[in-house]
Order: sequence, then C-alpha cells, then structure tokens
Amino acid sequence: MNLHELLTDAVADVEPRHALDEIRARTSGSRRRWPYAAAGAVLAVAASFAAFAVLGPDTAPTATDPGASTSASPSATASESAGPQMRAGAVYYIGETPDGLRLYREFAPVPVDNPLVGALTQVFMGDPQDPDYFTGWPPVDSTFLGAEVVDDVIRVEIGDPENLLEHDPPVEQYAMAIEQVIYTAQGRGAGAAARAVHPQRKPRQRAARPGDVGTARERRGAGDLGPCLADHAERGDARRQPRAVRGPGGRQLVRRQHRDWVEDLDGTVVVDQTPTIASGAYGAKLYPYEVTLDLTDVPPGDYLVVSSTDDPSGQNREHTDSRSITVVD
Amino acid sequence: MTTHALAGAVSADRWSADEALSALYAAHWRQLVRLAVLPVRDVGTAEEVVQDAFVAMHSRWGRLRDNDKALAYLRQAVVNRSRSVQRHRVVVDRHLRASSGRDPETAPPSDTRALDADRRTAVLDALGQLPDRQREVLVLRHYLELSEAEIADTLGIARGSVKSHASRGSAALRDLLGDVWKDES
Repeated sequence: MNLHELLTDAVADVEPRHALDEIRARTSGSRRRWPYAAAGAVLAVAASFAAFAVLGPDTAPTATDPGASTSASPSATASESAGPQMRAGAVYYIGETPDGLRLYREFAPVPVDNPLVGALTQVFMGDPQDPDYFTGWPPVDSTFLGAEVVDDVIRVEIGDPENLLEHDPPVEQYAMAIEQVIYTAQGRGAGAAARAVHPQRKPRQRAARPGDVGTARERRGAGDLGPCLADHAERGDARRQPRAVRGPGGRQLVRRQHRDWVEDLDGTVVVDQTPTIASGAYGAKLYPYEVTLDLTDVPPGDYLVVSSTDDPSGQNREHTDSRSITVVD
Repeated sequence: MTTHALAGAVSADRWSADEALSALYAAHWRQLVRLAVLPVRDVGTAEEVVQDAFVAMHSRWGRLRDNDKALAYLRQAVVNRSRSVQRHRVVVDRHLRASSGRDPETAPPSDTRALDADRRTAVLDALGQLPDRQREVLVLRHYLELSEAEIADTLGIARGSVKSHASRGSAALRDLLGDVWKDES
C-alpha cells in the first residue's frame, strides 16, 4: 500500500451520521445567538461619553456630519413584533478596493436595550447583506464573548486567543477587523475623535491575551472607510420615480468625481448621472455628496445602483460600490 | 471593487447560502468528516468539526459565492479546527496529568468498529505523533491528493514549506509505521 491507500483505508469505514438538518438549524438560528460569557481577551476601546451616546444618533445623522450618512433604511428594519424591541444599528464590514481593504457600513436590527452587543454580534457573525462585504473575524463561535461600557471605556471581550491565532489572518485583515469593532462599538464612523486601544502585537506574533493593554492612537480622519458608499441606495423595491443617492464619499486628499448610475443585470446602463464633485473642504475628511437618479422611465425589474469615484492619479484605481434594487410600478 | 466584479456578484448571488450548503454537504460531507478523523480520531468530534465548518461557510457565502472557493474554505476550516481540537486535548491531558499525578485514561473513539483494525490504528497513531504541519501536509497531499499549490493555499504557507513538511513528514511516518508501511509496500 502506498500512503494514499493507507490513509484512505484508515478511515474507509467511517460513515458519519446525517447532519444536514442540524447544520440547517444552526445556520438559521446563529444570527440570533447572543454570547455573554465573561472571559477571554479584552479589546478595550476608549471612547468619550459622547462617543458612547452616539450609539443612538448613528441612525439619524445630520447631512453636514461628514461620513455620517444614514442607513439604507433604518426604520424599515425596526421590529414592531413581539420579542425584543429592535431598531437599526450601524455595523461595519470590510470591502476590497483597489487601494486595499476598507470599511463599509450597513444597518442591521439591534435590540434597543443593548445596541452595543447587538451590533458587535453582527460584526463577529459576519453575515452582511452586501455580498461584497465580509467580516475580518474568523468563524470561531466563541470569538465574541460580550461588551460593556465601564466609565468611558467600551470593553469588548474576545474569547479563545488560540483559536483566533489558528486562523492566522493576514495582517491587513486583522487590522481592519479591529477597526470594524472600534467603529461599530463607537456607533459613529468618520469624524469621531476617539482613541483606540489595540493589542500591541500582530497576530502572527501573538494573539490578544486577557488584560492586554496596547498603544493608544488618535483617530484623525476616516482613512479606513471605503471612499465610496452608496448606502442611501436602498435595497429592495424601488418606485419608478426620482431617487436620491448619497454617500460620505470617503477620505481623499483631492476631490474626486462621483458618478452614479443604474444598470440592469446584463450591465447595460439604463440611468446615468452627470459626474458630481463632492462638497466640502480639502483635507483628510469625508466629503458627503448627493445625486438624484430618475427611475421614472426604467422598466420594472432587477437592477444595480452603482456609485463610483474616479482616480485623479490616472492609475484606474476607481472605487465602486453598489446596491441591488428591484424597480416596481 | 470594480463594476465588473459587482455585476458578476449579482449573478452568483442567485444561488443562496442555503442552496450552496445543501449542494456542498451532499458532495463533501463524508469526505470532510473522514479528513477530520485522520487527525482527531474520534468520529463524533470529527462530525462536530465539520459541522462547524459548514456553519461558518454558510455565514460567509456572501463573500465566497463560488463552489470551489467554498470547498477550499471548508477544507481550510476543517484543518484549522481539527488542529485546535488536538491542541485543546493536549492542554486538557496535561491538566489532568498534573492534577491527578497519572496519565489520563484514553477514551475509546465513539466508533470503535471503524478504527479497530491494527493497521488502521497504527496509521492513526503514527499520524498523531507527527507535528501539526507535517501531518496536515501529508493528509492534504496523500488523502485529498491536493497539489502543492492547493496545500499552500489551504494552510497559508509557502510552497517550499509544503515540500519541506511533506518530505520530513513522510520520513517520520515511515519510521513510525515501521513494518506496517514496509510490509504493505
């Protein structure tokens, strides 16, 4: 026998039991699981009282707050049925761009009485609505153990550092995974002045340990956010009428042109929009923009709303974000 | 993210996570459990490991969106989780040994009938004595018959490391198996 035959023979009699039903039960219920154990590593996010308080206001930011654009449809996701009262909370995921990984925001139902844990659970479960987004955290069931606010510090507890280390994520992804937690925990994205306490070493060197205290750094801009975010382009049904598309535009040292359009599933553009320069001053800030796409003459059907920024460097590093919609009469 | 990629994503998005889960389960459940049995031995534990991998794959389907990628992810998750199970056992055994002053009793595998042949037991014992990476490379190469590139991708290591682990692992396994391998060759 060669080694292949030896190994194959060694497990040839193993006949696992049927488990598809169990797996289906777990996948249908996992999104509502709420781990609360109190052990493991601690990722502490220093936040001002204001930062904690914005866990609520993030669902209704002002148009003048750079980067604080509103949800796809916050009110639509609030639950009025029996059970925990829910509202929309901001959850940050990672998306790939020509310039590397960036954070993108979605809104998901979170319980009114504990939006912090609710939003962070979404981060660690990693099931964004947009198929282009993902979470940087590994699929370890016990990763997120809980979160609480103590004085002015948000403590996020992460379990089983060995398991995290086993997945050995790329350093860039690990860094963005931490940013996911910070942005989501603070409930406020760009422009929120806050300090983040990071584990000092990268995962290839050592996993976070209980009681880790890392280096504090000041967040000055929103360099981790995706430069283009069409999060006002709601998913789902859309009326055949003019429709607003807004986004924070992303951090940029020079102003970029935004172009927004609607295309069908074959990639044919059915509504185009004149390129727009985002408003705001130059600097390391987000530039909110808003355009209107007129769907009046668009036949009912499935489409993509696409928002794009150009690349002033001329290297074709255009950033694009999109939402699926269905145009109805 | 490019417009082209996004357009493609919408097309692939028509296959839901649930549909992908069912298809991948039907095609790979048994082989993946057997893959997990090689390092963890116990069939029940192996089933749990693979179940966890399927649940994780389901939650990430929005990112994977492709059967080949999903299968690669499943293999990677099974290997990683199997390694975690083994390391956890080492820690537990060490704790039991320290607290009781004697070696812990070895629990029989839940499916002893499948593992009771001397040769099979010898192979699994020998695999268990290899360093993690050597065992993982040998199993992926000689059980799943993956290429060096696929193994490197699954384990997140360089192809040169795959060769090195394969070479050392084969030599070590041959020594450990002794007559079992020599006699059967």
